[in-house]
Amino acid sequence: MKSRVLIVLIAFVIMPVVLFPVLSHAINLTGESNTYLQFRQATTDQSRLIPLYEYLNFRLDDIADNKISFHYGGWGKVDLDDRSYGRNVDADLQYAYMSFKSDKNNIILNFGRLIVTDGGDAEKIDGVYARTDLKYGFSVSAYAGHPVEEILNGVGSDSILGGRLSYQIPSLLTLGVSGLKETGGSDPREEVGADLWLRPIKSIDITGRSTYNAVTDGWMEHAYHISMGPYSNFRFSTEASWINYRDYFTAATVAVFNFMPGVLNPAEKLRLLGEEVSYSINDNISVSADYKNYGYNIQGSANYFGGKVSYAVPGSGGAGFTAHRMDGQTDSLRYSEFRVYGFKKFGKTDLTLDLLDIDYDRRLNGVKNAYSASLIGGFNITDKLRVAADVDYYHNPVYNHDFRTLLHLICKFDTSAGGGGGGTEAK
Amino acid sequence: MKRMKIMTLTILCLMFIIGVYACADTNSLTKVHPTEIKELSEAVCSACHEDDRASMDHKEGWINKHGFYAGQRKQVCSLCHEDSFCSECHANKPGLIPSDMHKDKPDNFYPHRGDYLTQHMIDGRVNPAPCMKCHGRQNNSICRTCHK
Ligand code: HEC
Ligand code: HEC
Ligand code: HEC
Ligand code: HEC
Ligand code: HEC
Repeated sequence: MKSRVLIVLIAFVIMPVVLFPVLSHAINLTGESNTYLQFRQATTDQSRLIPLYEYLNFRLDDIADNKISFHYGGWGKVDLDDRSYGRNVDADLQYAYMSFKSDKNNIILNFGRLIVTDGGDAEKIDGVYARTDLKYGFSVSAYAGHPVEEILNGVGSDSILGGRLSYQIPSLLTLGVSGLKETGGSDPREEVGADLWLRPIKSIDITGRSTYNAVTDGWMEHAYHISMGPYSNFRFSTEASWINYRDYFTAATVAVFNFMPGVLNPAEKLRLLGEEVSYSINDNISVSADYKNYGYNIQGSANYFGGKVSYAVPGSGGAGFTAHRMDGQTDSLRYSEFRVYGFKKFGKTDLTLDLLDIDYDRRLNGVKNAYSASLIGGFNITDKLRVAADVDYYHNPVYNHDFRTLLHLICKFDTSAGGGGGGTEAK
Repeated sequence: MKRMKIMTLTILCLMFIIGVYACADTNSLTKVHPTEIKELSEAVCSACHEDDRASMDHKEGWINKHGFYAGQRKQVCSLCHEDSFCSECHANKPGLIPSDMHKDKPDNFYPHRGDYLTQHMIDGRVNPAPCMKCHGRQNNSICRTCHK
């Protein structure tokens, strides 16, 4: 509890106040602070909540010849309504690591709390990560440390070890094998995977990954995608995946995935086939249709299909309309979903409207239509300072009628401003 | 037996790596993308690149595929994205729901828009696999209030 209070304190006050003046002269500081004040009902007991969140992230670069950088992201929360007891104060350190990058061979060395995705799983670890290019198109990466996870009743793992070896023929093929092993806890993991990227010709792109669970001795998942186009403004995206529940869900730390009677069945196997076709009428307008078929060993099959029309002009505004239908085996797994949205910029001001409606075939807690409407207004005070306010109305089986409001303040900082370069982040 | 196989495989890999070590002499990627790309509708790589980079167009299917590309070369993502961007959806601990964080970006994909407590009962039954990726071993204290 104490450490939480400390992290919150750091996130809210100390970091920005201390770091800014001290470091801004010597090295380059770039980052963003997002402050949210929300007024809402609690998910579980309908009590009123007024959480204030501070999400802060920054990066320090230009250290040691621009080879070393430091990255930080985290949030803190306090609930301003003192009637809500319990989790009044909360915080999370998302990542905080030192990174070394060389000019040659793409050598990277990171240490601290980091997010590793090599092999295709997003793992959070307290530890080290290293990668380098090798000769003849090979490259290799490895990581080791302590996994950052939430554990149910058992004991958390105390170590994670993983890596990936890959071979590449530029613009044609990338092949990788990866593995990871988590030990020392009640839910160990041992996974081996292979990934493939292939671009036989310019308009065809194939990606795929298969993962094997060495604890249960079975394939967890095969997931493959083919993207084709554009062929006179048509694009096709096809996906196929196979999931074996027993092998896929064993390592979960929450009851819903732990094969309790009536929930997930370990003998279940899912085969998913999906297709999306889109057509760009011009640079700004496109229409698309998508279809997904879910086939199972045990449960009856389900289909999800629909379409979308969208319009977007970068820097100016856009709009969209989507309609989808989920057709499960039973009435309780059937619904239709509609969404309409639009956004427009007027100089420094912008306005967004978003409407979502889900129409259930079978009433859920007496409700047939669950809908939400959001109206968002934003104002860019300067290039680096923005305020936005949302008002959301929800009508659904959980809340019946609920209004939520969210105030959002975004503040970007970049000490290299004026010097050109740097700061070209999308976020 | 299984252990043995994995051990042997690891050792073979290590020997191989040592074998082809000797620096490759490739140039490292820059740290930030040379041109500034701010909005999702501008993240169409094929508009400017013809080679392998063209396959990372942030168009249809991207949300299902981005994890794959991150698995092969996260370095490319870091040209335009800080990790904080990924952490908004890939959270270890429940904070704000991702779709609440940027209501002013309706064009972007966000998992569970609107009221998800109702909807998740259906989606979670039809395909629980994506849920496992984000809630299986992390970000699941909220689930435990109902799924005990
Ligand atoms: C808008 C929300 C969102 C953002 C932002 C986002 N992701 Fe994802 N990510 C998803 C979703 C949804 C999936 C699951 C897709 C599926 O399986 O269908 C996923 C899956 C993944 C996976 C594979 C599955 C796993 O083990 O978690 C990786 C790796 C991944 N993302 C990495 C990243 C990285 C790196 C970034 C930042 C550059 C990022 N993501 C940003 C929503 C997001
Ligand atoms: C507005 C044009 C434009 C768009 C859109 C664009 N790029 Fe680039 N990109 C460039 C230019 C210009 C360069 C520098 C010259 C080069 O390497 O081709 C570059 C360089 C790169 C590099 C090489 C950096 C290095 O150090 O060698 C990568 C990787 C890259 N872009 C990836 C992408 C990806 C992925 C996307 C899509 C999400 C994308 N780009 C979208 C213009 C663009
Ligand atoms: C050339 C710049 C560029 C590169 C390189 C790039 N992205 Fe993006 N990406 C963007 C922009 C711009 C957006 C829109 C950001 C926003 O709306 O806040 C975006 C959005 C996304 C989203 C959200 C999509 C959605 O529908 O909401 C995901 C997920 C994502 N990127 C993942 C990745 C991953 C993973 C990589 C590396 C494989 C990557 N990006 C590389 C520019 C890039
Ligand atoms: C890309 C990661 C990602 C994926 C995929 C994902 N979630 Fe979430 N989910 C989150 C995050 C982040 C939150 C917000 C943190 C929180 O409040 O727990 C959240 C919140 C929730 C909530 C609480 C919503 C509320 O209104 O309080 C439910 C229920 C939920 N997810 C269920 C699911 C189910 C079921 C699936 C699969 C169909 C799924 N999620 C897929 C990241 C994800
Ligand atoms: C407010 C209570 C509540 C919360 C919070 C909640 N769930 Fe559920 N969930 C339910 C109920 C009720 C069902 C329907 C159970 C049934 O049909 O047997 C369900 C069903 C599911 C299913 C489908 C299981 C099946 O086979 O029917 C999944 C998967 C799931 N939830 C995942 C999650 C995840 C992941 C979270 C946390 C991010 C979460 N739930 C949070 C109440 C909740």
